[in-house]
Amino acid sequence: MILEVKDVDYYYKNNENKLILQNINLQFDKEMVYAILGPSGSGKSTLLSLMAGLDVPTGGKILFCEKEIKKKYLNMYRRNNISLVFQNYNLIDYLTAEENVRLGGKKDSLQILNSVGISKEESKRLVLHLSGGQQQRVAIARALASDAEILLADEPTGNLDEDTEGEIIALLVKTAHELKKCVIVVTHSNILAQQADKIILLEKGKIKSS
Amino acid sequence: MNFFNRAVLSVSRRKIKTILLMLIVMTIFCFEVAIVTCKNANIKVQKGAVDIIERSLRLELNDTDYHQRLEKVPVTRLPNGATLSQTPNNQFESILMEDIEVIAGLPGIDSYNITTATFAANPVNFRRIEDENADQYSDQRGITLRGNLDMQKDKDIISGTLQLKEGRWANIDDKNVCVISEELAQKNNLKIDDKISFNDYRDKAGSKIYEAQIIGIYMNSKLINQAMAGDTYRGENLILVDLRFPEKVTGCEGDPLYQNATFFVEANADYGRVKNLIKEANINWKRYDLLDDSGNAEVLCENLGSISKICQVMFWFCIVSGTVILFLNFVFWIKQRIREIGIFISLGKSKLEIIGQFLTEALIIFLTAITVSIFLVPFIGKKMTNYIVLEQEKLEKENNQIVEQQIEGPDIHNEEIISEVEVTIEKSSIVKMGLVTMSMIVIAVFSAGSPVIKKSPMIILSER
Repeated sequence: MILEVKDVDYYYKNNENKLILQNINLQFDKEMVYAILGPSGSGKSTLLSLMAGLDVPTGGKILFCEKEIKKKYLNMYRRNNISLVFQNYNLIDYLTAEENVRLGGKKDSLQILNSVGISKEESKRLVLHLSGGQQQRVAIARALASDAEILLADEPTGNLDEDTEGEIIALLVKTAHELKKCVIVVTHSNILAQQADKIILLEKGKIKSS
Repeated sequence: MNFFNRAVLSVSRRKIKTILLMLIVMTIFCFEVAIVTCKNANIKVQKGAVDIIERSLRLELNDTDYHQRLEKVPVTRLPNGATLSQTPNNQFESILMEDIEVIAGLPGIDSYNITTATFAANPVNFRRIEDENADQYSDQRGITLRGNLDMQKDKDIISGTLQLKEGRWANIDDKNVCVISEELAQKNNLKIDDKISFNDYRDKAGSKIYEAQIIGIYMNSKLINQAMAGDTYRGENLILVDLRFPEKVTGCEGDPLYQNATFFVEANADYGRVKNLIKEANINWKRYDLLDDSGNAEVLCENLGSISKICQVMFWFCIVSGTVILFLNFVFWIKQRIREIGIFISLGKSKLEIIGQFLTEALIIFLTAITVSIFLVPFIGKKMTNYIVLEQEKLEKENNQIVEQQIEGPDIHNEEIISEVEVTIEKSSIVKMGLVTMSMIVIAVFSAGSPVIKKSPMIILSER
């Protein structure tokens, strides 16, 4: 078990009465693809953010390799153990594809980009000059450039057409199974859910099934 | 990729934003340096004028004594019942030649000049310059005569207001000569050696006509005002003549009216000692005032001192407004980059590193702006300084005119002696203002960035 969410509650500090997440208990392993599903407002993205170390739970704890993630080490946790992929790619617009990947880590960026289907010529372009699918590939390449064992993705196929969605899902599955990483994906996509090794269903901030 | 590399790439690839910020920084920096330069500008006065004026003393009639004497003069009762105090002759209100000669003979006095009062005279064989825009309700349709013993020591000539274009100035030995303005010469097609005639404006038809030979033509480096109401409304109608000429034209031959006498101290003499010697001279001091013209330079400096105050106010205004403008720009700049901040946070970059990148970008923009500004600052500094000084001078002139209309008295104006403003951009000013601008930028980046950086990463990412 690489990541554990234990008795986690979360509410916004200005509205303590409204629980976003309530008594969440989950465990995640390497070489697995997890799909977190649920209607809008069910707390999927908040859960992902807590696992990504972007905030700390108001109750309970998150453990990485059985060690609790402390608030003061969140930066280090994010830098070394987590890589994130977003729906809107979140690439730095004034950098090229290769430079964006280099932000993620010290690995050979051109080789990683090549492995996700970005040619050498495309990797020299500013990311704004790439298509949506290519940008998401670059985002995944950036995530793979780090040595992080957990890849968290928030609606990674939300902005893509069906063909590209399939390619990105394949890439995520490959990342989990071949690169031996733990891939946790928040999604509405049934195709992605079907490819996942495990599905977690959230509803009104509670786990309905896992 | 470290934050410095990212900063360089951000600045070089977001060209429009970079150029806009650079222009703002350049403008603020140029204004700061220009204002400091203006404050430190060396307002040069005509060297010769100051040298001479600073070593001169002027003898004028004492106003109080004059009015006391006037009160003792029998009053003429007019048919309408009003009373009129009329001076018995010109001597009554003139500096006396015997007193002038006493002072002129003292050790340490190098030379002296006597200037008559200004007189209106009727131009007989030439026409004056007209000014239809002037209010001429009391115009006698005349020109102005001013006599000098040694014309080149006339105050307007020393100050450079009147400059010789052709011919020469009159000296002590000249009789029945004049120097006219180039405008008057042009209008009447007059040249050197021509003779022009005048008579008494109060009796244009019957009074005796006097001729004066033109020995010089002057030009006005600055517009001079009319010398007195009732004679002429244009400075170009001033005709400089030899000392004894005005009294003839006004029908007072042998009874001159000398308004002042200026004594020039020898270059190697002790000014203070000579001044004391003059004060001890055996003349009727009740009748006179001895004006220390060196004080004029002090008055001038005081007047120009207000420029320094103006610059001080402008400097602080520029600093405060510059900081506000920079702050608002950086707030906008950082607000546009919230998404970028979120991405860096999600990648595990520390907040310090993110602010460090923004600060580096701002400093790169600052350094580029400063480099470009260094070439612009001398031009802007000079323009601004000249503008402020000339405006100040204009203001002083207007104030003097107002005072002149209200008070009759000795003419001790000195505004004409400013000849140019020397503007030097000092390296220390550039360095100081560079540091000030840099501090403003650092403050602006930190104060604009810290509210964003303080937020939770999750909130920053949700704001994108």
